[in-house]
Amino acid sequence: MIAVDFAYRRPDTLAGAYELFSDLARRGENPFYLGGGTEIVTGARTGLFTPSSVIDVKAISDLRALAVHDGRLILGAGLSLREILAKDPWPLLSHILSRIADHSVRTQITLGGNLVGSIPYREAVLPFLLTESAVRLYGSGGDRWVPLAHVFTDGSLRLAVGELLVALSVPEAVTRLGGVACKKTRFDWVDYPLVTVAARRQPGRRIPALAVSGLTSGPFRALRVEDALLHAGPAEIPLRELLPEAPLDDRHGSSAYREFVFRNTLEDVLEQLGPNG
Amino acid sequence: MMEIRNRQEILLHVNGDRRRATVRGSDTLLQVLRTELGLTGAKPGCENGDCGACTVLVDDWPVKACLMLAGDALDRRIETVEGLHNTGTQRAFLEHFAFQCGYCTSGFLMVAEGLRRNRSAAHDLEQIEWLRSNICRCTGYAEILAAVRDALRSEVLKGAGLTLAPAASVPS
Amino acid sequence: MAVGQSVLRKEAPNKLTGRARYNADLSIPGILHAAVATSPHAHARIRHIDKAAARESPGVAAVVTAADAQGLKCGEVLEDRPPLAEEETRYWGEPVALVVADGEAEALAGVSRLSVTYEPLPAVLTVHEALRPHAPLVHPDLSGYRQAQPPVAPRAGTNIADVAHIRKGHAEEALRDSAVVVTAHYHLPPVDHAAMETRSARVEILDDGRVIVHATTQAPFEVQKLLARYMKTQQGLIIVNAPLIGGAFGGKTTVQLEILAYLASRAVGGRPVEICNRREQDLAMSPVGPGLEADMTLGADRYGRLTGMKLTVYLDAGAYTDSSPRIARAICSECTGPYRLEHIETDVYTVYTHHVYATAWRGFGHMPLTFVVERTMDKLAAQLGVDPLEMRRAAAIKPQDTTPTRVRLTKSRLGDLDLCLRRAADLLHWDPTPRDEGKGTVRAQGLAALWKTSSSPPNAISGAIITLNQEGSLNLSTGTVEFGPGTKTTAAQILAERLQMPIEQIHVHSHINTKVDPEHWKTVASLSTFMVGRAVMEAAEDVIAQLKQVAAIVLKCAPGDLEVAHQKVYLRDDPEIFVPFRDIAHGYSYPNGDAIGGQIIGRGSYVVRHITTLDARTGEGHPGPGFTVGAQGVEVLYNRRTHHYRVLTAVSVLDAGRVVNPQVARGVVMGGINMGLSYGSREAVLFTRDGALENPDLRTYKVMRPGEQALQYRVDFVETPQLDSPYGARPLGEHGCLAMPAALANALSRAAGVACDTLPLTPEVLWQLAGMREA
Repeated sequence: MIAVDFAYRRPDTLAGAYELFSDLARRGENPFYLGGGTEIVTGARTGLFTPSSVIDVKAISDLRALAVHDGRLILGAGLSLREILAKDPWPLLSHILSRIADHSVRTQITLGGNLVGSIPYREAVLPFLLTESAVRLYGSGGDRWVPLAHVFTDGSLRLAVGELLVALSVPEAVTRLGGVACKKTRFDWVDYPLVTVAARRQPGRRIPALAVSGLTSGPFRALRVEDALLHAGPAEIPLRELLPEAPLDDRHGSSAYREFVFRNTLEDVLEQLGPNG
Repeated sequence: MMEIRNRQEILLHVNGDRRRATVRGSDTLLQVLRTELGLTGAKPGCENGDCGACTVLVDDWPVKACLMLAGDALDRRIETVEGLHNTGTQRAFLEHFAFQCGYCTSGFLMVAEGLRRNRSAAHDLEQIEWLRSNICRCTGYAEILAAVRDALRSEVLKGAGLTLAPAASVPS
Repeated sequence: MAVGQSVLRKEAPNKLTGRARYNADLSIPGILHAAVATSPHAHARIRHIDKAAARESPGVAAVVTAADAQGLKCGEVLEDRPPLAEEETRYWGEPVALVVADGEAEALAGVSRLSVTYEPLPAVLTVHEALRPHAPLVHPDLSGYRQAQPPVAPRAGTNIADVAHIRKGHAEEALRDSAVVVTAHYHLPPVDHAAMETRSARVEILDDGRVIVHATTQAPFEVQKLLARYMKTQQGLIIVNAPLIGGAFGGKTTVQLEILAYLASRAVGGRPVEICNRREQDLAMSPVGPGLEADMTLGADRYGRLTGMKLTVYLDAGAYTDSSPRIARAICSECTGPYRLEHIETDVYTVYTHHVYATAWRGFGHMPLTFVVERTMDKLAAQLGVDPLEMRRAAAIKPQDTTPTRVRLTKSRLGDLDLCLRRAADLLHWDPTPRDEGKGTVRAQGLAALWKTSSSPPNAISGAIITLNQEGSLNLSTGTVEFGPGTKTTAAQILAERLQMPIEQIHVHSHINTKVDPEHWKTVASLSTFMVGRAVMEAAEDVIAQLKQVAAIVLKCAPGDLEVAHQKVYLRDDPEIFVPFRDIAHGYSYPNGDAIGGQIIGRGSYVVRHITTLDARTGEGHPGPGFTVGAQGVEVLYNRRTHHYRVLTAVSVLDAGRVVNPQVARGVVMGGINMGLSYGSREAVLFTRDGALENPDLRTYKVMRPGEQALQYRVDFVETPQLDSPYGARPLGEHGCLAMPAALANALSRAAGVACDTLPLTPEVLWQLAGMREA
């Protein structure tokens, strides 16, 4: 059970949620937005988080969007991974989502929750890092769309206090391009990644666009790896120079083993995508 | 706006009944089912979303009750193992000796029941993908997988107006 | 009639409807909860505990520390463990204080307000560190501890809690004269039981002096005796209830939470208190299965016959001994594996470290032992260039051979290992040569053999009571706890077989109450069928005699003229002359109303015979009533590039003596196989450099999930009856797992061309081994 008590609130609108959050924060409370809740519930139980209130936002209609609008696919942050998988609007995204947590938990985890949570892998962001993605934010800056690249830096989404991730969008055409995803764990199918790679064909380029999670402290677009692969195979590229930081060294795998796995994964990805990326 | 503050009485829709429960905002659905409603079929195994022993159906989908806040369960249809009465899934588990200590069984049954309702034509890999959400420490899993396969097979046959030989019955 | 039939577990229907109640399901309204403050250090001095803020916390009724335990020391063998840490803590996660409060939330809030000042001390975190000269001592007062259940041989001034030996023949000379000798070092980490139900206990101390305990225990009668001893009260006043248990695997033999709950209840005037492990606590605070380091040397002559062996094992007991000295002796007893060896020198050290302490784990040391022996056997076969199957067959121990503890074997006592080996090899389509499967994958097989006896105390007892209901159905009461293998159902099968009556007419109950149920030593060591079965047989004879006595009067004949079957007592020469159970179960009434006899109540009592403690120097002695032998194997598909692999086929052939319940036996063995492969491939309790538990939940302590098990199970049994066991049945509850890690390592060693001498065999470990080979 969760030892601390907190209030559960479910506002109906974005404005209502934001006002509630701001109001509680002003009063010195520690409110949390709640998506699927899987991280907050477990974190509150172990004492990692001590929310004073949770504000359940996933049912707000703006967070439930799943539509194509003006040539862009829009995905609400409150959609559960299972709901997105059922509709399968973007096969590459489905590949990635289908390996996050397990089937039962995917009914709860939301797209937004996976992106803004404290668990560092945030694999759901990988396909979005491969294209001109945008995020809809609601907060002190108003209700706005901004390029993902502006707010997703150093492996996490930089949100202002109280700012709410409402939805993500990508050019619809991108969702029809070929892509592959590959997740490698220590051994178990259900586990955090040693390495997850999402790859998408780039028209006119031999090497696919690559985004990587698990290898280092957060997900990143591997532009330098892509460039290096133009000149050398996965086994030869000077990996350590191409990564934002050294591969993680933890109980899932040593740094050297992660590097080995990453090279293998690159080989698999390139082979699966075939010639011409 | 829905709200649960301090200790508050709420109504939950459980196993077809409207049930009153006094809850805190931080109570999980598992906690409420077990201590408020006396439905101890869902078991705490890890309270961390890892083992699946607490799986229930929420609007027909398997969910780990230890990961869901009670507030999140408002306005949703909850079904626990106590709501299953002599189903094909239960009979298949009995026939296949698909449990030993029985502690994980409710959770596996609810995943299997979710499969039956949503994806009765699921192929083996899809069945496994659903069942991977749960852990059994006693069996070698072969019995559980066989039971689930059989339960789904008879469901598919039933859809075609056919039945398999009568199975042992489970008292409800 | 019932033995040999696949009978459903008696409690099966309740397990499918949520109606089967486990300990935490049976809590009572208004009960107080105890939460535990645990040590954040592997080794630290407790400078000060400030209870004030916790005591003031809303809903808190008491804060309990070591001071409230009045110097109490616990331990099954050696009393070395304070229930709450006294001056110092000896492992990360050790209980330091209890906060007793109205509810779990209040208790946890109280724990967060408890302030404990620690002074961290240097810790010993491996057996090597612990054995170094001048290593920090886990127990500086080692010589002062009471020996509750000798033998145990602590060495004061060291971290050696115990050492046990086998000395038989002349190992030194035998090895010197051998044509081939192999030596290898093995390292196996501690593992967790990870039963799906975490451990819990409730205790209430009544004003009349009775202590009511409800606990997740495999050993309710042990809880009763220990609590009585620790609390200096009568055993009869301690009433221990054990409901259905949600998996045990040895982890619920230890007596820990029961003592904490008792102390908590005593601190609040005897009110009922519950303590329920969260998963993190179950892993960190409650005991695990022991890890070990081992060195084995094995020799053979030029014909491949085993000559002699030396084995040194360092068991990582963790901070307290619990049952480790008994595990050490169990390892000694079967240290050769199921092979004939006349020259043996074995030393098993139980070593203290600042790890969470260890207790029994499925197989009582035999899974790691089997790993060590069977890896060494494969190495020896490779050195000799012989087929490892044929080498094992030639070396297999046989009737008239003697064991390491010098027990002379008979066919009944031992079973038929050669038959198991041959059948396992057939089931596996044995081929010791790895096969290239293309695309960088290789298919390879591994085999391993096993044996085990119970290593139970010489005075272990078991009882059975049968009462008849008026209608002629029977109630059977025995002392085993029900946690999956179906011990109650097996007992009912044995009774149904003996009385030649339908098993549906025999009623058992899944809950144990030490006040009303006859004692069964502990539900461990796979001994229930044998011991309970013997008691049930005796009770059945008693019932038969009583039935015949009354029926003889009714039918006007001698009791010797009568037979019992189908719930009737009838004339042997004319079965149509009979009296049904229902007419005599509660006495026989004549037409005019007067009655004879009374309720038929049968009793049976069994004590193991000829079991002796092992000699301190040579290990000579008799460790158990009989052996179970078997052979297991796997076929793996291994990817040379990624070092990933998959178990394609898992094979097990055990000599079951007689299979009482085929489908249950198959299920228990398949579960054992899966647990063994899980242990072999991914399980390990990990510690940080500071000795903190690194994987304290089921997200990080990985066990097999559906889809990861062997693609195919081939489970078979050989039936060489154990003549003194009911219907010849041998123990088989633990055995399914025993040789699996060894078989897996043998297969992977062959597939990868490396020596897999450690566990778990994750792809990273195989990658490392392959890298070392290339370097």
